[in-house]
Amino acid sequence: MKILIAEDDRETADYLAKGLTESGMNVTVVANGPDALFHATQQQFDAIILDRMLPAIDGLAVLRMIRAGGIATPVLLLTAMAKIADRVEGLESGADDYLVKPFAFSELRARLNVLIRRPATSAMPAETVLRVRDLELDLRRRRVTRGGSPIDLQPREVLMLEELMRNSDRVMTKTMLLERVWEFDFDPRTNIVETHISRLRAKLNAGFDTDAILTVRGAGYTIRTE
Amino acid sequence: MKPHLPRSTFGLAALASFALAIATILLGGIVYFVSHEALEQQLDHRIAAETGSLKAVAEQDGLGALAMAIARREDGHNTNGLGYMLFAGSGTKVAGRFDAALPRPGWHELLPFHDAREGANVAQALVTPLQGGYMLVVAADRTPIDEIDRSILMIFSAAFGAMLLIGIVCAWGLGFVVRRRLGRIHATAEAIIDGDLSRRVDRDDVPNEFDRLAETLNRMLDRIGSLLDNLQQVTTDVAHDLRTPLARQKQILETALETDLDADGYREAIRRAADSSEEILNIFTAMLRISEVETYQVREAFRPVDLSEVAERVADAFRASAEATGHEVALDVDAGATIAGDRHLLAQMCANLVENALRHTPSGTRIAICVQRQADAVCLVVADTGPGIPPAERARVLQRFVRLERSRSTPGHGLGLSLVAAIARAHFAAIELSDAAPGLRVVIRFDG
Repeated sequence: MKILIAEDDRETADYLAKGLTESGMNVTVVANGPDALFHATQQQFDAIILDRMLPAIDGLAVLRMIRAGGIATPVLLLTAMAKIADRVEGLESGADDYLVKPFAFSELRARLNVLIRRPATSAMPAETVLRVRDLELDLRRRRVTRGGSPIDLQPREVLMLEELMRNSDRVMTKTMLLERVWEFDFDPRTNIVETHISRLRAKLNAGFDTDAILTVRGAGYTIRTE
Repeated sequence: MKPHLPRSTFGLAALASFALAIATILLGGIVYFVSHEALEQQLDHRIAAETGSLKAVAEQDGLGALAMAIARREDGHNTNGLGYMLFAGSGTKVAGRFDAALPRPGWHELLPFHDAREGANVAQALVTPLQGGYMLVVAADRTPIDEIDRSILMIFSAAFGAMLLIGIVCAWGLGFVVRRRLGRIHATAEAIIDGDLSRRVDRDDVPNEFDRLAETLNRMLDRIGSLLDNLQQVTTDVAHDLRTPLARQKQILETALETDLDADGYREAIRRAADSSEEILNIFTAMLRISEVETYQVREAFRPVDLSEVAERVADAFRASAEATGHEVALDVDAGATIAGDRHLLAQMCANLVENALRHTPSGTRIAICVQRQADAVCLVVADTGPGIPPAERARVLQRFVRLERSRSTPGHGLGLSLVAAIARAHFAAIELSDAAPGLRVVIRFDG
């Protein structure tokens, strides 16, 4: 996995580079807009982590130029501001995801993993049934079965399961599930996700020995393919 | 230096009166020219008409009859201000008392002649050749024209002088009044700059533009004053509210440093310290969110939002957690209640209200979320059957960092409801807290 990090804050860049290298990724670090643009257009990366504010050419402008150049590499935009307008502007400029500083490294890694696999997933529109091990989700009829027996789920439980199944083997964090299932861009103080996951887990696990959803401590939840 | 028009009151008034004086001169010139021309034409017309009738007499009845006609007019003082001369071919005057040398034929604007009473003078004259080399001269004295010309000139010169004088007096007077009023505003502003923030601009009892300006300035100063007070209050509150988690963090870390612990013990201390920083960050996030919403820039991104769908989504999100703490979440929404807004902020508003109810009410409480479509408004209502808020405290809980005494022990930073209030204001919505008998009812009314 080749990752380009464009971040002018040395400490953040080192922290990200160290963490991603330890996760087995091949990392290139640049600290300004022109370098980011040069590397992004000259090499093939699996994902780009782009700071919104970069010297010389700012992150958003780099992003627009990359996209205008026809490069579809997934981009995760980092920002120091939690402004609603910035988020909208970032996504409209062609970012695939958006993360506000300060963030936990586990959150960044989880989002990056989901981004890297995203094109492959969305390239199969004909897919109507998701299958992970003994779990099956009929996307059109919104029906779920485990080991062939139907499981009665609420619509949003199906949605949550769909996110987990589409991103099997990758960790979905609490905030990612909040964004994708309930479209919440804020962090409620109530443990919404935990409660819903435990309900979903209880429904999926009834009568089975193995846990359908795994909790990754300090990170989030995942469904394993094996 | 580039020349520029005056901008002071005195300069502007002086300029205006100067322009008026110039206009007076122009007007005078036009009146002078037009009336002068009209008089001249009238004179020419009279001369031409008289010449015509005398010429007819000469042609019909002969030159003798003409001479007699002239003499009759002069004797009878029937000249109508005209003078006559008839010259023979030899240049000898044969009739008429007008006293001038024989001019050449045609029109003469300024023909010198000798007036019996006034001496040398000029006249307007027409010289017409008649049969047998005779010349008829009909002339008119120009004195009346000159007199009228002089009167017009005098009148307008006086008017010009008066204009200038009045203009200067007005400019000075206006400048004085304006300067005195502005001076008072200026003095107030200087006093405020020097630190006396309570000073306000003096008001008149009579309504006028200065008074209106003073009133507006005073309102602006009031607004700035209240914002400053608010800022000061918030700064104090932020400092106070951050101290608690920061102090806790310091204490956790220092205790861990001074105590011999195993790896798990240290990890636990680090985790608790991290929780404290999380709490501090949450306060910052909430503060930033509130101040962002309060700038109203978010309004630029407003789109039609289905409030019913938002309420449904929030109810769904919290229902499971609510049931886990023995609360009940009931949903009653009218379908398709659409308003202009930001769907994320509206969801957060709704979520904050529900969380607030969850946190401050005991187990067994019912929380109802309603969206009502009315004729001219859409209402979001979140009501609980908990202990409610005393009427005196209701307005206060919408302010930043205000936490009622009985909630001191529960987690929270006292920003949830102030964010709700800020989001409501950004959406032009009115927020009202009332008694749900029992419990608290929050109504957010979006006017359509």
